[in-house]
Amino acid sequence: MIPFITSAAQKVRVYQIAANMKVAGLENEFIANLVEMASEYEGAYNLMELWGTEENQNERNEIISDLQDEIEDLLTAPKKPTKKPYIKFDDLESIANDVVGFKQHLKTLVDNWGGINKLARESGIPQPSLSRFFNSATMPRRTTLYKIANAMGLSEKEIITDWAA
Amino acid sequence: MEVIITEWAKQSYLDLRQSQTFNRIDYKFTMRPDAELLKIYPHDPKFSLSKFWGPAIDSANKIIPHGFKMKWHNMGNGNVQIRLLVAILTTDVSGITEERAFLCQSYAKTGSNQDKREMEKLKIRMTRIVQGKYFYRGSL
Repeated sequence: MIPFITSAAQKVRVYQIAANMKVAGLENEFIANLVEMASEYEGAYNLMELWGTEENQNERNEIISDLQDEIEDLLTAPKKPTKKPYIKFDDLESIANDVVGFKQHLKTLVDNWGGINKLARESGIPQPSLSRFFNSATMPRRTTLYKIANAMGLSEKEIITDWAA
Repeated sequence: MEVIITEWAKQSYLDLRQSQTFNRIDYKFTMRPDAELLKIYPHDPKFSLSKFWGPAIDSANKIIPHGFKMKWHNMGNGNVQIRLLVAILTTDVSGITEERAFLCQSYAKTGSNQDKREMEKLKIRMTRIVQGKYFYRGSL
């Protein structure tokens, strides 16, 4: 594979889109991480470009959620290929149910505390990402749980789950 | 060829399973056997069927080198199209450098915008695989 190297024009485009993201209300931490990622990963650059040219707000939100997922995933990536325990197909459904149950409980805590928009402001996690987080069965990342806990003042015990990735 | 199940693929399967996009029969008799064909890639006639297998195409309509999509139609209870994105790359895993197939992510296709996003995510993940910065859940 050929390494991705941004041209001068692409770098300027990244900054233009980043500035537009700031105007759109996205948090500095998200934008800064994204600018860094887009300089190394062509896919991140292209997703930024898709956001920059997209007019539909729902679609823009999907792109932001994808980008936040990829940023969080990269920040917690191992330095070399790392094997996690195998998961059997027959266990997928029960694991997914456990994850959804945990997220529903956490969502109730969030709603009682002030809601997703407030959590987005306090945690720095974009609101579309939080909506996807609470509506999916994917295992939550510990880093995401810690951001949520710190924003809401929750204890470690309140965010413990068997299925944190 | 070894077929590696990445953490990204496993997470996407969790979501599809939770939403009942495919059932146990789909998995046992279609999806799993088809994915296992990658062990003998490209020496199975199904890899020449464009309805089943083709190159991954990015948001600018360009072929993503080493990126592919496996396609299933009419899955689950409805007319759901499921895509499995695969990277075939020569990389080092546990000190052994060889060509492997990496299952990167799976999704129920809902439209062209989603397809574009998934393809760009595939590109990010392919770079991560080459860099060695990824988790995996074993192999098929």
